[in-house]
Amino acid sequence: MSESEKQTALISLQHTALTKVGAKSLVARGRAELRAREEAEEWFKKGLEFCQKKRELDASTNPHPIATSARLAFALARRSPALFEEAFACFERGVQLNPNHPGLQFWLGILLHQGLGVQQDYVEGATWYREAAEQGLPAAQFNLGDAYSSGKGVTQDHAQAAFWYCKAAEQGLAAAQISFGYAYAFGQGVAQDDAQAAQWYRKAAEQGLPDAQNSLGYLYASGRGVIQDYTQAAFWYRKSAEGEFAEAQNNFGNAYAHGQGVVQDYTLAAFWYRKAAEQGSAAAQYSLANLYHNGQGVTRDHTEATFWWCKAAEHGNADAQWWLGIAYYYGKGVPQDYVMADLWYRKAAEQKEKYALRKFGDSVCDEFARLNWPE
Amino acid sequence: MKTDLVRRLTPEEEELAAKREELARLEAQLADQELLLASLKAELAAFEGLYLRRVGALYAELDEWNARLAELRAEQAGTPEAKAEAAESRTQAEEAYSAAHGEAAEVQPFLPSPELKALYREAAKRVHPDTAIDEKDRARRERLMKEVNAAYAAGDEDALRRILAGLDSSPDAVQGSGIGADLIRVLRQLKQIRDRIAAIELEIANLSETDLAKLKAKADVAATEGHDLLEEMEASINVRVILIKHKVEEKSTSGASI
Repeated sequence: MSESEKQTALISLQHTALTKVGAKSLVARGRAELRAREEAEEWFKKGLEFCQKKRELDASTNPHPIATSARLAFALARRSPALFEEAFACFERGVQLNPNHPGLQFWLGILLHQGLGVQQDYVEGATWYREAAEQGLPAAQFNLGDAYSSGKGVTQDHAQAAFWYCKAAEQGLAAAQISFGYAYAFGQGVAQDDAQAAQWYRKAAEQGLPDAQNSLGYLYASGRGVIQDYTQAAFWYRKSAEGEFAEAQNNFGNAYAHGQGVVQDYTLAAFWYRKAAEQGSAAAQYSLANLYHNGQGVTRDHTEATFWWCKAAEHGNADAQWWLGIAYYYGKGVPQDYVMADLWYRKAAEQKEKYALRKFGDSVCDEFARLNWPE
Repeated sequence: MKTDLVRRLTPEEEELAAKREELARLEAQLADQELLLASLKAELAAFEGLYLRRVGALYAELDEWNARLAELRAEQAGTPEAKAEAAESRTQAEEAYSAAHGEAAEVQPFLPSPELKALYREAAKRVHPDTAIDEKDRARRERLMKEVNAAYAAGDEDALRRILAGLDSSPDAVQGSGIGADLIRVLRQLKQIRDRIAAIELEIANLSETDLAKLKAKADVAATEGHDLLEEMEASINVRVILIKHKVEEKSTSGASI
């Protein structure tokens, strides 16, 4: 064997030995990372358990549990932050072991962005949302879209908001589909397009999201983006109303009151108005008051009528304020009180020009009240 | 008379016969153990090959992008620390590349046929170095055993048959002279085989503790549960490759604008 041959053989031998060590280290690396990822997954699960416990705790103390509203759940969750502190610690440990875990990134984002169990930090929260969003996690894409929409943690940018809503919507996230639909409906970040809005509302509505069902019903009722169709409108209002969505309960009440898409029925109108009214819908409170006032679908009852006008008036409904004023003026359902009558009349007049034209004691006003106030 | 034809065995002869029986039993056991060890090694090598081709190659790609990013940073920052970091990243990328694309990565799946196993068992029994009668015999057997192991790992049935055929024609197992010498030799063989069986058990235990074996065990469990562990590992590295690629692109365009 010549010297150069020996050299070549030696180099080849060394090379083989090196690759052997290299292969071993590649295997060790894979196994170590696998272990770290498994451990991170454990922390993730543990953290989620704390969040879940928190949610159950809040659900038991929440008089109006609305499953679809994660925001409400978090708002309530602020009451006892200790469980979120535990969760945050778990997620932080997990992300140290696996910095690319989208779930961990997303939850760190949520806790930071909403200040749950940790000092609120919009910027840091949005950064984590982005990390997870770029890895394709729909919930993170949606939250990042929300951050852009509200300008919390990022510079407000409706085009970016629509971009991320779209990403999440395309992956089938109902909350993102409705938000993307709203973007089209209001032309925020995308060119206004009712047909597109209707399409995205429908996707979310078909997934059972009450907000979307109501909005789709509204598009059908008004013939925007779809061919006008009261039957379809009533169909979606009903679905949404049955999902305890107040606005839809009011709209469905209207459908019964006006016989739009359903057979006209004041009793059912009163039923749905009452549901919405009890949830605080001012429009429904006003409509329900009118039904009591007119004795439509319910026994005529001045006290009830005035009670609901009062509720609606307190929510700023101008028509209800006017009628509450009249009720005080004539002492219907409340003790007669000209001062109160004047006060509510003025409030109504501040909002609606037509009320400003009329004054108590005017023959016009008296005539108006007499015509609308059957003895 | 019968007693003239069948001589009664002396105690030494009885002892020798019993030891030879034991030897035969142990030789069979040893062959089984050698088969187990050779199979384990071949399976691990095959898994390593698969791992390196699928996961190792991705690590090499990841390290390559890491090195590029470090080099871009060094170019833009120009500090000695950044340069040192870039050089280190480059070395790691090169090491990962040669490891992921070396010989070990070429090993193909190991799927031994029953025939291959039977041939190996037979060959192992007949050439095993620990049944050697002297040092010269031992050297010859060690060489043969290496060939047998290589043929088995390569799944080469013909090579095993050739080795077995060669044994038939070679002058094998020259008997020693005298019963005492025979007994001593058999006892020595017994000890050698027992030692070897214990050594194999230890080696199997050690092999099972390696990262490779642990990873393979995990992959096997995952497969029975209907998922592909290597695919999951690939996915996890792929995410990082994509993210770092993105950073490299950002860096190189921002560098260009300066």
